[in-house]
Amino acid sequence: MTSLSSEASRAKVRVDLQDNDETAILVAAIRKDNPEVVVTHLPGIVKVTSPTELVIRRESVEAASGKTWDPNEFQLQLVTYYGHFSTWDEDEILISWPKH
Amino acid sequence: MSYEVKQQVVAPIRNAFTYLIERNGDRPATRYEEATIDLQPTENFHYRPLWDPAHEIYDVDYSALKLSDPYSFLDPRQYYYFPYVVNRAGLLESFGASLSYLESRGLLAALDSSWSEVMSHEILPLRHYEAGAQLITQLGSRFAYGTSIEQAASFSAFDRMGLAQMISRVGISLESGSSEILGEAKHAWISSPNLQGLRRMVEELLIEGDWAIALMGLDQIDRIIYPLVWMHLDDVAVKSGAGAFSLIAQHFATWYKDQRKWLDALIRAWVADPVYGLANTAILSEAVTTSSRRAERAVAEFAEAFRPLDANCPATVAELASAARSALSALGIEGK
Amino acid sequence: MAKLSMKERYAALTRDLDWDFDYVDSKEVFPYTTFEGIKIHDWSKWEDPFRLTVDSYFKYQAEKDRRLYAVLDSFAQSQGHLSLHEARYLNAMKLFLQGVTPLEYAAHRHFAFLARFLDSGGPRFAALCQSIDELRHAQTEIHTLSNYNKYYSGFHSWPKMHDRVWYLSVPKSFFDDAISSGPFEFLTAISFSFEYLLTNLLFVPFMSGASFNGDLPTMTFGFSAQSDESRHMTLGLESIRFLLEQDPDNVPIVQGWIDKWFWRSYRVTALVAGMMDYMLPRKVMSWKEAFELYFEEQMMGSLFKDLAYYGIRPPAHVGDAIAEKEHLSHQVYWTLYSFSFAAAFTTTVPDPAELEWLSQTYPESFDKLYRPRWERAAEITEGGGRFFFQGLPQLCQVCQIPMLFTEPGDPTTICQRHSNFNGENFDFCSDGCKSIFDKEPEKYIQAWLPVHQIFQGNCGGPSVPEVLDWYGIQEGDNAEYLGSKDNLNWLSWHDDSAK
Repeated sequence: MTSLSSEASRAKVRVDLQDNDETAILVAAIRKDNPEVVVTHLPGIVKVTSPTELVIRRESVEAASGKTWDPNEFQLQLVTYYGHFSTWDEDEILISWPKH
Repeated sequence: MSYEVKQQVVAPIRNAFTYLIERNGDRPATRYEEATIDLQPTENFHYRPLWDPAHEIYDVDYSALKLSDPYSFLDPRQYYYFPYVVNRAGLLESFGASLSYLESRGLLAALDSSWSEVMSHEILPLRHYEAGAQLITQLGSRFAYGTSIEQAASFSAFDRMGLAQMISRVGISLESGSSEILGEAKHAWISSPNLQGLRRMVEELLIEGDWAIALMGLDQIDRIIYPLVWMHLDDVAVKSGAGAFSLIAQHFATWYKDQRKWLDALIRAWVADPVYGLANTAILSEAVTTSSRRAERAVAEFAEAFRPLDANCPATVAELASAARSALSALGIEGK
Repeated sequence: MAKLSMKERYAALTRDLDWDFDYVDSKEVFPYTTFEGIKIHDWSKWEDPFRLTVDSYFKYQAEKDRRLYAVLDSFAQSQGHLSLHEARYLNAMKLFLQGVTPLEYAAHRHFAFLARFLDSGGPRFAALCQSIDELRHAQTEIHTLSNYNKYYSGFHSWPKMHDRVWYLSVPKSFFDDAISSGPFEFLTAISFSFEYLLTNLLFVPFMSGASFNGDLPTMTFGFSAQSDESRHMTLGLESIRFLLEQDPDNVPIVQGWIDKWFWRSYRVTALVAGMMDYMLPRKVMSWKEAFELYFEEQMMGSLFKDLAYYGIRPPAHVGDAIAEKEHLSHQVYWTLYSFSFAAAFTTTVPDPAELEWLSQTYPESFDKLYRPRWERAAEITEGGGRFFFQGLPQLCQVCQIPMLFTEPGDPTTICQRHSNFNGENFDFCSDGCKSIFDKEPEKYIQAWLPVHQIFQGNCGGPSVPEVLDWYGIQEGDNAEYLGSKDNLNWLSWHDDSAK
């Protein structure tokens, strides 16, 4: 669930991914499910920042790549992140700050 | 600035790290040597541990068994992280393939009642034996002196966690994807009389403070229980039409052969040490004498449960225990 | 029967392997989880979002290492070192191998302690994975940099140097401090304060810098290690949350550790600041920018707001760290420059383009305070000399960095603090380090301070050459870069292009 709370400004989350082909596919899938993300680059790195939270859906990645995708494979691309893995299961990875 | 690269071979100014050249002579080092030798600091520690002020952060006195040069032991498999994980990824992949095959053909569910009884109440509880083995071995990962030894212990400890998970996955498959059977297996580990000798020995090894003595104690059980469960019962399974068990057992037997390689090499190094060899041998003989008799009794009690599958199981335990003593004797360790 | 979810399967394969001991006292099996005063009521509340199991661990780690070693092999086979931007860049990697790789190894050993002694199977398994991950990092770093060792100075004796050389006692004492603490303090120190709060500052800009300077293998191992680091950061954050949720009495203990370990970790990253701004010939990001992005925005801006819910405030002395971001790298690198006759790397005056970059990046401080030093140093060099500080520096009793930092708010006065313990005087570089000492003086008086050790005659002899020999420093490792062995070799290997 995407919630645009009044605390949105503080709830920024980010993933840094290795800059390669597989990441390009991931980024396409991420953009589709998180239209508000901002994508920037450093040498070797793609930084994907969301003002609220960031979801990576297995279905979307599979649609973008045409192959089956296990969310565990995300670890192969992940360089670092900022936020909190609220969900990491068979179907999606959700990065957000916890809502107390 | 950018430079054109000259089309020539630039000769190295040195072949290896200085400390490897000092040890091996001036030759390129292997990746195993680079990944292992002299990694552990040996001097100028800053603070005494709050949890053990009597020792340094790394200290030869964490064990009574000592090597005058810790790198006189090198892992014969030359495992550093990369070859280790590649090897184990292969082991786990083929185990997973066996399990999927058994599941897809319903072969575990098709085991006859005597086999499925043994699987549920005798084999599955060994997941806790392996979990205990991880903890026992892990002590060496932290406290062994020198990277070659602790690295092999670290991988072995990780292996034991992997073996505990492999057995657990057999349980999950046996019950078509549920974990209730694992609860029954834990109950058996805690309360079945024939498992208490094993459980007691594991628990007591967990409070042995000398990592090497604890590991040797565990090894006395392994030396009997592995050949019994994962090799002898495998033969029984093949003869009695329980091929499903055999498909599982082979992976554990493969692991155990690999485990023997480093552990036997370590025992050889302890015995052969020019300074500590005699003392090590005496300590090992003492430790082995105490623990191998207990291990034999514990496994014999455990093996009573296999009588319905193989009436000769108790005799087999005695033979395996005797073979274990002979193997140790060949390494220079004579029980008293 | 329903198939197990990922969460249930994970629990069955980790936590559920535990059983209650009947033949021995569990306090004897897990003796170290109570002496720090931390109260745990229910370990089952501990969550590991990765839910990694051994089979997937091996699968993904093997794949990561296959990719990495393929890069290392092809780089070595194609003499890739010749296509670095400049040999001078490797000074950063020398400091990395001497200072950081041994910490990876230390982490390997002590996460093994947690994998044995935490009294719950869930966090033990996370620690078990991290323990061998850290061994991976140490080994992949050695294998990456081993190729450079064959052609360049300063890489050859890093383990001995880590145990002996003055500037390396900074990272070594930091990690020894964490290891010698109890298990929950170690988690707070390394997993949370070092890895979650600050490790991005070390790895991400640095590895981008490696990429920018033509060092593909370092970039590859760095990013590959970072993918494990994401798991480690998660362990850090989950542990802190868990401890805070378990008992209100844990809050002040954890706050004290965060105060201590933020400052301790931050001081170690001072070396990184110098590396980033001065040792990388081609710059990606300044220390200040990285600090603002990875620390101020991410940690102060969000994490500590989140932790306020539990009653945790930002670390003590964090204001001092923020205030000195304009100064830190300049003060540190000037010290390294002044003492590099006794270091296993070389230093040099930044070239004009770098000076320009520094003044644009640090408009508040560089031209006014630091450029004049470099101009003086350049004049001395042009006159055929080389500025080195004569004598030995005074070290801070806690962080062991030479007393080089300035007063908060006054960048022209060196900050000096003192405490008296058992009739003896001890010196500190900052309020942060002094307050760490004052809480545990019995611990910090034990420190193996390299300069004291030289004066006490424990470092090979009283003269500089004797000490350097004891350090394992060979000719060509130290002092000025221009005219050094690495510099001359580099020029001769590339002289075709000069024609």
